[in-house]
Amino acid sequence: MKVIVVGAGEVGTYVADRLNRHHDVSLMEKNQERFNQIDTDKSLDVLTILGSGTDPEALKRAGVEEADLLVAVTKNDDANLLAALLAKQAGVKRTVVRVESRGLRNKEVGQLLGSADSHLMIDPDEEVAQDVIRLMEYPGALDMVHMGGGEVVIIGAKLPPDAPFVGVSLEQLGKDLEPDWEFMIASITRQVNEDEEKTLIPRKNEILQEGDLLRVICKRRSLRDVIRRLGIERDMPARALLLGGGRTAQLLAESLVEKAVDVAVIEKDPKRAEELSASLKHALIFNGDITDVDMLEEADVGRQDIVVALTGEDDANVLACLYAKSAGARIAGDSNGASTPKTIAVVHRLKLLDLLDTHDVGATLSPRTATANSVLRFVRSGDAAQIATYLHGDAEILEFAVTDTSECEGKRIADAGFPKEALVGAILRDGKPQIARGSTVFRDRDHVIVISNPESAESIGQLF
Amino acid sequence: MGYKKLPDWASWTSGLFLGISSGLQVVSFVSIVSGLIGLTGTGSQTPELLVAGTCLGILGTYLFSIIRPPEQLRASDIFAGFFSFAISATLCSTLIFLIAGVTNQFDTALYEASVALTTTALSTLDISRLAPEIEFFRGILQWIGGLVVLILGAAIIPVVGTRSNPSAHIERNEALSLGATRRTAVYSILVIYVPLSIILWFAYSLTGLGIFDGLLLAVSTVSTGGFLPQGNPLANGAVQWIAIAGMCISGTSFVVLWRLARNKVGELKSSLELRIYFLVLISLGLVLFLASGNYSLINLRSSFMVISSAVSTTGFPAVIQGEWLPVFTVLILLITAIGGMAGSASGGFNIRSLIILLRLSMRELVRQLHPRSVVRIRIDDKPLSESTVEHAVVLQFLFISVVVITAVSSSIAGLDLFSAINASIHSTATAGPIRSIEGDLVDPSLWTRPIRVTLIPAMILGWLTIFPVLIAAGEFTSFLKGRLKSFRRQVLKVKERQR
Repeated sequence: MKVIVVGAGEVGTYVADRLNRHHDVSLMEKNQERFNQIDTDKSLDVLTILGSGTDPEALKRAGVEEADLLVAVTKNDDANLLAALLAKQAGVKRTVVRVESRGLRNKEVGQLLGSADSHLMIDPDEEVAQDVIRLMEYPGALDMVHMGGGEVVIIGAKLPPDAPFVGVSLEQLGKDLEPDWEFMIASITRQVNEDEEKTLIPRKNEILQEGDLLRVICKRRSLRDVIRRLGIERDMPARALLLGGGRTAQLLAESLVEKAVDVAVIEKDPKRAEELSASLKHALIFNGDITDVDMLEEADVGRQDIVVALTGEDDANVLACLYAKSAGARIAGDSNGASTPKTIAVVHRLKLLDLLDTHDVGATLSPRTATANSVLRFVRSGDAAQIATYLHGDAEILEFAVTDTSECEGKRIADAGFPKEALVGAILRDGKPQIARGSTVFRDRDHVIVISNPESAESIGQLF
Repeated sequence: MGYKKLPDWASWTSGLFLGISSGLQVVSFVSIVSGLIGLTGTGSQTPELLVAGTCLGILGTYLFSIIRPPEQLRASDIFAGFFSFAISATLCSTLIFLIAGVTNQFDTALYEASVALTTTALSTLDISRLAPEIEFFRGILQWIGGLVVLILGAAIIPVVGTRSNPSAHIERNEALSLGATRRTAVYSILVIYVPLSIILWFAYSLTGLGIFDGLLLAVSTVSTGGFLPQGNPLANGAVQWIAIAGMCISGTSFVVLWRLARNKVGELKSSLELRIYFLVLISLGLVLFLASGNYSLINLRSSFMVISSAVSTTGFPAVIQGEWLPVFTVLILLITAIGGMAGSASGGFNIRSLIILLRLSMRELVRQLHPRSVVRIRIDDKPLSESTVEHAVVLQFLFISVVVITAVSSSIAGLDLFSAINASIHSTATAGPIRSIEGDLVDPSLWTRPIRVTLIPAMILGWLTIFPVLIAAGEFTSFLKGRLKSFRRQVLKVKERQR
């Protein structure tokens, strides 16, 4: 498939890189300086085009006439929409448009772009805000993905010492769950030594240990039970501190205020702080630097239930989260019963993630992956109904629909020929979720949720 | 006198002289119409009113003909215009009162003219001795006064911009819904003000009050002037209920009335100021009724009459049937100082300013805990600019200053402390009548002439929401300073030559 990505910013570059694994991708950038950066980036093996997506000539050079999909993800809504319209005029059947303005995300604009299944409007800030909200609803979770129309949940969490799962073997767990499993453990990421961790598909003799990072596939109705077994059951936060007052923070604060959470925001730019104060009715806005300890103390960082660092500076986000943890620990030490705040850091540089794991920053999110999830989901919607991308371990979660022509139709999971790196987690049959077992037989119209590494995604797709 | 002849200060001067000319013409028109009304009866004062009105009209028209309108409308031009209109109209009305023989004392005539135009219910006139044409003249003056304050408070805002009259500025966005231009805003105000007057006139007339008395009472209600025609019409229960309804409406923002007229009721539900306004009216009315110990329907009506009269700063004299507690006087003094909603014809520093001040106080408390917090003050979910908040604070300070200075002046002139403060607040809020701590209505005609004179500046300042007067005074002072410097330069030049 020929894909054109317009805008080589953080999101555009990542989406281009991910799509390039299976498709022929052209990446357009009009800024000369940025173009030079991506053009000389050896890790990015895509066709780079200097020019604007709103320029028909530049689009031609990018191959718009042969393209099947255009992804316009610059920071300019108008430019994205215009690029999509030009592409549509040139015969591109499907478009993905980044639109931040809520005023433009309406039916009328959608109609300009064609039928509902031929275009997708995305907003990276909103995607991140929604991800944060999901994590906050289950404060102990490190990540959470909803699949199968929301009936199946994949949750990631690190086992605390007092978790009921600790010391339990998977064999024992399997016996407890018989006959109708409500959840299954999809992967275990375990610290091998100080510097190394290993992700493994668990076998029945595996014993769960304190500090294991588990990914559990469960039915939505069993989420509470899984949360309890993972030892991360907590109440919805009552106090939240958002570090950084960008658009994501604003969207997040609006949602939290609606959920009756006390929200405070720290923003460095006085003008932006004023704007936030004007637009966020029930949030307390501070004007200060999140790396300023006095500022964090003034905002009572140690007594917050959750601290979310959302600035564009990864190092500031990480440092502030670490400080929040230490301030919380200090207060917890002073007064019995107090707990340290949960922290969520938005991280733009994926390479920092390993460092964050070893320093216990808490949950992490990336605007790149949040957006990439939406785009990849849309791109693969022809053969996979939904797809999400895990930040850790670079694993993909895929959802496939079984048809009467599927190769796996009528076969048992164990005999269907799935690669070793893949695990069938759950099946949605007649709208009802069930946890997959080796003996489960695929039927027509089943929706199947599979965890695999990105390289295996295509070969798994062929089974359906 | 024109713009081109005096280029360095002509814009301001043009505004000033336009105001003077308008004052002359308005009083002339009211005087002539009053004279003609007199012809329906004995018309004892008609010749004086017609002659004086014609002379003022000719003078005003001549003045208007030689003035070029300012090329651009600055806030100071408009304020100078309103201020000069106020002075001109007051002096012309004073002249009419003197010529018509209402009084032969200049200061008493000036006081009555001020009381009438500023819609302050502190008249010293013996109504029973007034000719109908003078009653009409007096009644229409307050109606004009009410209209002027509405136009000042809302219609000039789109023209003046954001840094003008603070109480008007607070209402800027609201007022913009009245009309995007000065012309449409004035039109919107007239579209409500005139029909409201006519409806009240009709309603009063239906009670058997008579067309003439009904008209006088209607203009008195709609302008919050509080001037009563002869024969104590408020003795009638039906008239009282209509007056209560009329006063409640008059104390409401005209933006609210405009929205109601356009059937935009939904927008009003979120108005905190409107909710507080009616909460104050209803709760204090009930407090007065219940605490006075008389639970008759008549006392219920009287209680609401007293409260609506005080909140809207109309000043219709009303007494309750039960026991009057000293706290009632204090409460009434307090709600009179606050007045009705911003953008209404009522006086006082208005409920909107009070909300801003309360929220400002809360913000300062938050800042004590969190010095780096950024908190915007909001009304009805709309954030206010800092300049609006500053102006509300300044307006409040000026209001208190005027009250204090007037209280000191009137106490020097002979009033006791409580009466001085009471009279000062009522004058600045353009309200009335004044009550003693026992609840008795105080007759202003018993005050000495110096006391009454000390109250005139407060009435005019309160009527024009203080700022236009001070800005015009500031402009005038700058002008005088400029002239003085010019004179000194000339003197220095002459001295230089002599050396």
